[in-house]
Amino acid sequence: MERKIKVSVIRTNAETNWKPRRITYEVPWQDRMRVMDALNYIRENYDSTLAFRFSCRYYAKCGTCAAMVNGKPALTCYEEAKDQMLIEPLANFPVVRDLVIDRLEWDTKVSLELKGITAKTSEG
Amino acid sequence: MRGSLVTLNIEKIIETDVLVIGGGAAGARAAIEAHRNNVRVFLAAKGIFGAGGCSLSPSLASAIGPWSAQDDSVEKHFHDMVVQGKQYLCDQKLAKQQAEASGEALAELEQWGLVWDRNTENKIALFPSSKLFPGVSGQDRWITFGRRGTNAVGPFWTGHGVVDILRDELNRSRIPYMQEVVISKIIIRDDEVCGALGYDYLNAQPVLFKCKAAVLATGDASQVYYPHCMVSRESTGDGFALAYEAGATLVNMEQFEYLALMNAYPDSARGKAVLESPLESGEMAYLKNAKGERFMQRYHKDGELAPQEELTKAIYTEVKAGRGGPHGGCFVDLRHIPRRIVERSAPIRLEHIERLGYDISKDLIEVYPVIHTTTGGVRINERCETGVTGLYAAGQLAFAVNDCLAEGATGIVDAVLRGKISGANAARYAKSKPQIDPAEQQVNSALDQIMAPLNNHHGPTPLSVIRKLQHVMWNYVGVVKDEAGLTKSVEEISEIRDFLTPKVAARIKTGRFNVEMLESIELKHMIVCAEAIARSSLTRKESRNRFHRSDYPHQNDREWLNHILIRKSTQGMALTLEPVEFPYLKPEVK
Repeated sequence: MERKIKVSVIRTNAETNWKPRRITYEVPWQDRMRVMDALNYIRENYDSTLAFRFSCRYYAKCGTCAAMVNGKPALTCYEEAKDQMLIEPLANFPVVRDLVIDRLEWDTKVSLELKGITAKTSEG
Repeated sequence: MRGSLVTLNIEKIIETDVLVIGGGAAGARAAIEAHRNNVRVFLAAKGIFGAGGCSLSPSLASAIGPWSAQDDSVEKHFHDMVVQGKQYLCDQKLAKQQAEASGEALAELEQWGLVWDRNTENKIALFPSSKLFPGVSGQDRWITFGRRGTNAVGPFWTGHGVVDILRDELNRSRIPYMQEVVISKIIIRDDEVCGALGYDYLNAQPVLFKCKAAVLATGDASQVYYPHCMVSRESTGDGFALAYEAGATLVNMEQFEYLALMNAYPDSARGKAVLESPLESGEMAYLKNAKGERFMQRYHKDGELAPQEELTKAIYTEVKAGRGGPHGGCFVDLRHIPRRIVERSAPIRLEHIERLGYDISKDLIEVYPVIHTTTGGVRINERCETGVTGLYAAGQLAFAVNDCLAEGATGIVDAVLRGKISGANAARYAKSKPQIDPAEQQVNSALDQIMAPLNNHHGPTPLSVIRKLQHVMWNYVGVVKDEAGLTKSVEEISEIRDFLTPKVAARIKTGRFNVEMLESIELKHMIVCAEAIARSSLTRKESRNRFHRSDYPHQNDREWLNHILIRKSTQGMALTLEPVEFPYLKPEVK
């Protein structure tokens, strides 16, 4: 018999009245499965409105797929999927929808303040 | 009963002189150059700037500069690109331009803070490509950033580093940009670019850009093969479709690069390299089929060290003959190599392998080829003009040299070099003319197209149609192609375009980050790319470079030293052939 795992996602959207709600899905187990495979399975088979960011997939380079997995920050493309796992949006960020967080303030901080980038005063 | 009609109005209008579309190396470089030419610039990126697109991928950069070997030269670089890399199927004038300017384009990045990897004498280090790709690259010419390991071909931080430095420069120049906005249409009035309509899916609102010139730098299209591709999520070929719809010409869309030794599963790791060269692991990795045979000797005299396209074809043939593994691939065997040697040679590759739960002393790693990059593209000239007044193209999207493995690592140079050229020319052009306002009726019809999925209630999800398209592409327009499969693919793509796409329904009606609206716009772009790729593949009746037709297995220089051009016509896609020009190097046609 096909093995299934239970995956819980904290979702925030119009259907949850924009309040975080834990929703649990049953996902078939695949060999060497990543957390992102579970999220993709949910999108493709249960609910295509599930929102999460990703870009490079298993390069562990871009960082856009970061989320809390069982309470710890992780890259969903890089983290092994486990039965009964809980996937939440990255902590300490405002939530935009489901697992998508608002990066604007952080991006500005990284791009400008942490790197010490100041505007060029004169052209040339 | 009627559902309430969702309408969107244009609440956000951005006026600029030069609009740059694309947040990778080419786009960033174009924006900086346009800004230096004293015009207003705005950059629109579909992903997170600096964390997406195909600029993340390159591990290496190929150029002639002070770092080059004494016996290397611009002429050799040019020759390798045209002959070894492309088998003459390229624009020699653009290849020449790139060979000549490549060193300067990379050296400039150092002034902004990108420090290329050094050797023990503190000189920019050459990557030992001739050692790692024997029989492919005779000359060490590539330089790197963030190199790790003695033998690794990647993944290094070269592309990432370039984008990062360019973003810093962009911020220093205070060039405004917007993230997570997808462009759905370039607006043309009186045969000139006057704007673009986009959808800001983060804030779920349409955005109208008014501009005098636009630079397309949206990268690759190989997401039409997801998950059988290497590039980032954003590379859905938006620019190809935008340029085509605006009236530009697409060239040789059937041409791709493949990489052979990529994870066969799971999907999230599919298309990510186990090894790029069998020598990366320090000692030669073996390639085996499900029966445990080292089969490469049967296909090529160099065995596992054969060029990537030979590995690709061989794995495809083995699997087709029923000698594949449980996930439809062949196996990389590292069991004979001590772990410490692999770790010293390619530490990040090893980390990626072990992270998937493999123990390299016991397990075989299942691999299958994937699409590396598109190498066809939007036709440009030496000034990056597309032929549509006010529309420019640069980077992986443009048909220039692109990334080619045989004379590899030309992609990032192409991006920064043509980014600079397109930015300068777009700015010069923008200064010469007044702004024309986009016609209201044009904007409204483009807006209606964007909104359609919001008012469909029971149709398929955009994701399901995208997956269907990707399935057609990989099954019929995949590694090895033939007439029957390609004909079928063209039919299926037309059906997806005409019957499924108009019914696509977005279930998300309100709130920010509308991923379904993003996907419904991407779907339209991907269909144009898929159709162009399938029709071009059907037209080219030979095998050349990495393009394989099982019914025409040989390179045919006599009849097929032709570019396949695609333009929009009233009857749909019009394909024409154009003989390749040989201004510098001429092939000997037997």
